Amino acid sequence: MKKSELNDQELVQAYIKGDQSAIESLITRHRSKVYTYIVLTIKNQQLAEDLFQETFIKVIQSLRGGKYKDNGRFLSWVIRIAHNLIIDHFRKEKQMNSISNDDTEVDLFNSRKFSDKNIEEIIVSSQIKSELRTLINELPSDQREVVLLRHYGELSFKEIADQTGVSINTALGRMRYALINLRKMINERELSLTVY
Amino acid sequence: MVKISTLFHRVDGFDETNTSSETRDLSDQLNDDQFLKDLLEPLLFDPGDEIVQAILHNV
Repeated sequence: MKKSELNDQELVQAYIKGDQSAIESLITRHRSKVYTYIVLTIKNQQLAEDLFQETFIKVIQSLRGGKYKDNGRFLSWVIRIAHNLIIDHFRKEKQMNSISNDDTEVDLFNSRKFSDKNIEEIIVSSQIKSELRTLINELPSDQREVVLLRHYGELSFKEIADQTGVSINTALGRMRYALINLRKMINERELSLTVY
Repeated sequence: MVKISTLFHRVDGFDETNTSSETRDLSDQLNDDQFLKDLLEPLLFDPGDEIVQAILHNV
């Protein structure tokens, strides 16, 4: 059976049993969601790449160490690891009293991943992504955190509440306000975010 | 002073046989998730294959 036909649980089990290529399939399957979650949270491409690598190295070490309890929610588990690493990074940064990454803007749209598309697709795709990214960036950080954990990590509100150290009602409230803000921004700016 | 009891107050237009509050909450949540999906689906950045190979090389 091809690796792409196996679900996450089957790939995890295959890796634990010694199939090295199974972990590559898992990383490849989830790399975009995990990377996007990290880069939208910290807004720094180089740091995002470092944390992305650290995340999956920790994933691999945990799998090898038998620390992963398989409940069929591999992606959520990976996103929670990424989230913790981001928190650790900001704690260290705060201790070092360095400046925030919020001021560091990067051009993700000129990276090599667009090289095989035609110019029109690149422009349309870049414009939409740029507008979306602006919307997400303008959300208050606590609301943005809930949106990203919910969408990219597929976490339940209970898991989001646990992960962020708030009550479920607070997590739900933050999501509610995030959606209100997003809809308001889209209407006010008359944005068209559909791919055509 | 007029006292109004709210204990058995009937809300005009409320139909208890209609969708329960819980179902409405779930429906709202599904709508919200769909809105997020529609909004954020195009916002996906691929870090590329090189970084995957780097991870595999490092472990």
